[in-house]
Amino acid sequence: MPSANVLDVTGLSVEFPTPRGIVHAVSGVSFSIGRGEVLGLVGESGSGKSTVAHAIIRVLPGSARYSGSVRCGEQDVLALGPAALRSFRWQRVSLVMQGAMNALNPVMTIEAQAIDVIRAHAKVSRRAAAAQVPELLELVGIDPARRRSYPHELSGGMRQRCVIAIALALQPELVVMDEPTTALDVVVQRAIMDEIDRLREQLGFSVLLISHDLDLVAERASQLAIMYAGKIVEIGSSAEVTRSPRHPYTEALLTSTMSVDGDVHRLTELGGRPPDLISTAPGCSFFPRCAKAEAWHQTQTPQLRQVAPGHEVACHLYPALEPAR
Amino acid sequence: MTGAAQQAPLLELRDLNKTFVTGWLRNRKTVRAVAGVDLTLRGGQAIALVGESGSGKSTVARLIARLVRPTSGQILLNGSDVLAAEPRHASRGYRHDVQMIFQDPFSSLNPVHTIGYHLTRSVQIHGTAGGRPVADTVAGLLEDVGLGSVAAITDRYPHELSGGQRQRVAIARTLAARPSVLVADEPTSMLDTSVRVGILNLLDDLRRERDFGLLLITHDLASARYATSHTLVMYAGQILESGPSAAIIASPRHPYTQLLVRSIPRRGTVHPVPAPGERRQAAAPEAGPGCPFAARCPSRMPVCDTVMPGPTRTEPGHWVRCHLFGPGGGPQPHQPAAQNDSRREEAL
Repeated sequence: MPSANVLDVTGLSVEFPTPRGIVHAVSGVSFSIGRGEVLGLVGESGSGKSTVAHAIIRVLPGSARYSGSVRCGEQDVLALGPAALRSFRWQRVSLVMQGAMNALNPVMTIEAQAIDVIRAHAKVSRRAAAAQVPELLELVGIDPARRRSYPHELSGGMRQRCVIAIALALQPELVVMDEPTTALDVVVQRAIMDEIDRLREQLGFSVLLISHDLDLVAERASQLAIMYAGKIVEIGSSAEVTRSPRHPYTEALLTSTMSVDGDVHRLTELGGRPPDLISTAPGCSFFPRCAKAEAWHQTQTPQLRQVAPGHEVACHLYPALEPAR
Repeated sequence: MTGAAQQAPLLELRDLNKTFVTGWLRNRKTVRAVAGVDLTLRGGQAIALVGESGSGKSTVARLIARLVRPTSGQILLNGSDVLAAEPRHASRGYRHDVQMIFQDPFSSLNPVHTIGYHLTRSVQIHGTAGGRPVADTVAGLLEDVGLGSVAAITDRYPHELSGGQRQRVAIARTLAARPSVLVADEPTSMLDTSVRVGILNLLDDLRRERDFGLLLITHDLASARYATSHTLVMYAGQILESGPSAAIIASPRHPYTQLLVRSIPRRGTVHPVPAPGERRQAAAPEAGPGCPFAARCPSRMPVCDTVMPGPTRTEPGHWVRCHLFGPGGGPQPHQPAAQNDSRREEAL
């Protein structure tokens, strides 16, 4: 079935064999991203959100085992061979990694790195690739005269702009952004996020925005998916999920986040720790930390069910809107 | 807010300056990391020092902790001039009184030592067991930071704990010294959001119980508002605005504070707010005698480039250094001398 979506992820699971046992980093994650849409993926450290990003662009370590499907239009991403993968990456889906200072090579100029990336993923001459660089930098608001700069000569915000420029070099349909502004100050963060919004409107790409910062993502994404212990526990429109969260974990995330609006009142910390991802015991993975759990939740795994139009929750507390799918 | 205003100043910084010199000969540059900072912390009070990276806020923390020596200015603890009495190194007494918590609880704890060892050492060094067995004191400290129920915690190593638990250990270690001033430099910025609140709640509870003064150094205005009664906003080494934390965020006066507040992500808002000012990075603003924020300021006037205004009171307990509110209390005693201050080159 041809899809209007840029990306369809269905039942994606990623496992890592370790000496202690198999780590189920991602378990049965499904979502779709429409053309020009921003989907936000929010979770705490260790929730598997970066693993999802890395699986989509196939940069996981060789030991990782996948199942499920990742489709980008007609392409089955998990089945691509090395050559196809090379042209898939950057031409169709590119990645903006966390921490711009680490994503750039310190001993190469910005221009050289952009040329490298362009030529690695597309058949163009060095000259043609070089001709593209000034325009790319201009796109993200950096003076093209600075293309011969080394990363250390640029500020953190400028480096992140360069990383974004390089991610857009081959006009991908989808840009996966894994914590794109985490290391930056709020003022620079807002400027970068505004820039991404502007470019998205101008160029029409879609974004998978991954962050631990719920407020940041909720402000930018039309769809919001909350991840916990390798699973999506709640997914829906940003407005719906933040205004009427259903999953107790989403609620906890929203109520434990300090805000600059409203009254200052004492917030409560979400106690406990995320579960060990090696365990394969059934039951709700949020059970030990959940204030509303009933005993039987410990043994039965909740499935994502629609609780409102376009709003799905994996929690036993909510009956399905329609017969369970 | 809690009657702290009546208490005598515990820690005072007066016209504190720190200039770093980098480079050689012709490339020699001076960076004024801290330029004329005044700050007063009273017993039992919690105040926040807010700024972006490179604003000099961590240098203030390091100056208070006596990890670096100020170029000029005074540090007063309980009214006595610390630098005059102990010019080179802080005395043991000062180090009892003033304790620090750092951003990264993983690097501030030694990975080869157990939690029990870390705390036992602190109790012994500071001699705070008071005749009781040290192990009892350690157990009491762990109880106080909410780790009393963690099984065999004293035998564990830092890597066996979560980030939040490690930060609690770091807090317990400072409590072993029975400090009267606790300086927390970004204590929650490496932690998950759901854990941050727990650490700030703990610091708040401990402060009320033990009546120490807390200086929270952070880039996060929401944390400042949540955990402190008073906030100072720092930019390029100088305090630009100071006032009640709630007022600073609800009605910021300085254009820089306004920019900071406007930049905070807020759920429920629909975007986009246009980015202020020029998109493209201008050349690094030359550090002149004027306001350090002038080059980025939407309300810049000619006078901003030449004169740094003094503090002007806008409301009780709230002052701002900005020409929009008047020239302030006369000319500033400190003349900025920095050149090519790379810290100000942060791009928009």
